[in-house]
Amino acid sequence: MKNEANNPINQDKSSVNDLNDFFSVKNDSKYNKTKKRILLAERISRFLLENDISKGQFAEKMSVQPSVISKWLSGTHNFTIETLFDIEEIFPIKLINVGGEQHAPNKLNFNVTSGKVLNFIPTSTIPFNNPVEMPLNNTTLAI
Amino acid sequence: MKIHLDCIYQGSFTDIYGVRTGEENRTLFGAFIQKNLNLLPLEIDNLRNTLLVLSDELSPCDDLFEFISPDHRVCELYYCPDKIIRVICLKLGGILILGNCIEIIDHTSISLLNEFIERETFLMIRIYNAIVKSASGSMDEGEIKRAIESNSFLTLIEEPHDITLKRNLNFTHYEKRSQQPD
Repeated sequence: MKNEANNPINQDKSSVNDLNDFFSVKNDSKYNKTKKRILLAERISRFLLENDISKGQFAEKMSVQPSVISKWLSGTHNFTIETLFDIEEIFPIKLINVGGEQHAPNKLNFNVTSGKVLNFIPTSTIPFNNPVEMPLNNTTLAI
Repeated sequence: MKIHLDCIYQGSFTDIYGVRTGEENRTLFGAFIQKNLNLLPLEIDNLRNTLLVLSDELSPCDDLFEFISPDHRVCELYYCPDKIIRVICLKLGGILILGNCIEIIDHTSISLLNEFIERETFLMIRIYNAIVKSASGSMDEGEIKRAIESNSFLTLIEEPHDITLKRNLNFTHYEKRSQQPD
């Protein structure tokens, strides 16, 4: 991030950027939630735009009032998983990516003859040899 | 009244400016934040996060804003379901100009709110007209940015009586509130 607040072109001498501190405070957890919420809304919005689907048509297909669509696209809506599934069902857009979250079963390294567990290897350390990939395209958003 | 635009944050996608009026050394937005930071910490945190996301993460599309005067690109920022704070903005592509803000509290009357929205929308329209005029009518983002940074629009901000404000502003979201006692 490049902050040009001190650039004399942008400000005369009487001005100070009183918001340096304001923007430097960032709660990562809350920020990430906001980011995902907005990116999700923006993804749907762009999908509609790119596919020339009006909000009215979208509302009709989703069997909701157009005002509901405006709320959905505002980046403030708390989507239920059902709603996201419904959108994916009706339109060719991928909003939930569970492909990247596939987990291999936890591997237990055990002695074949004694049957004793020697150690436990967490899934995250095991290369996933045969991942079942969900079809990924440019409308996929991992949330 | 002198009007300045101060760059208050520059992200990868959106540059945020604040309106500063008269001889004030703070932007309207900055003054509001300073005054309310302790009173509305959660709301202001939501607002900050939204502005940071819009600036750093994506080119914000119009749906993330509620347009008050679409012809003049004057809008309000959506940032949480119940906007306790109303931020009047000017959205010119990847340039977001933050005007004045108001907090909606229990005893805020609908007439006060409408008066505020109308006055601040009016101010933003004046700024919009001056910027567009300074950019020779071009809505090209680069031209607009140059006009802002060179301050060439400053002399073109007209007095309020030179501008007619559309009276049929769409204040539908206030109508709901008007059902409540003032």
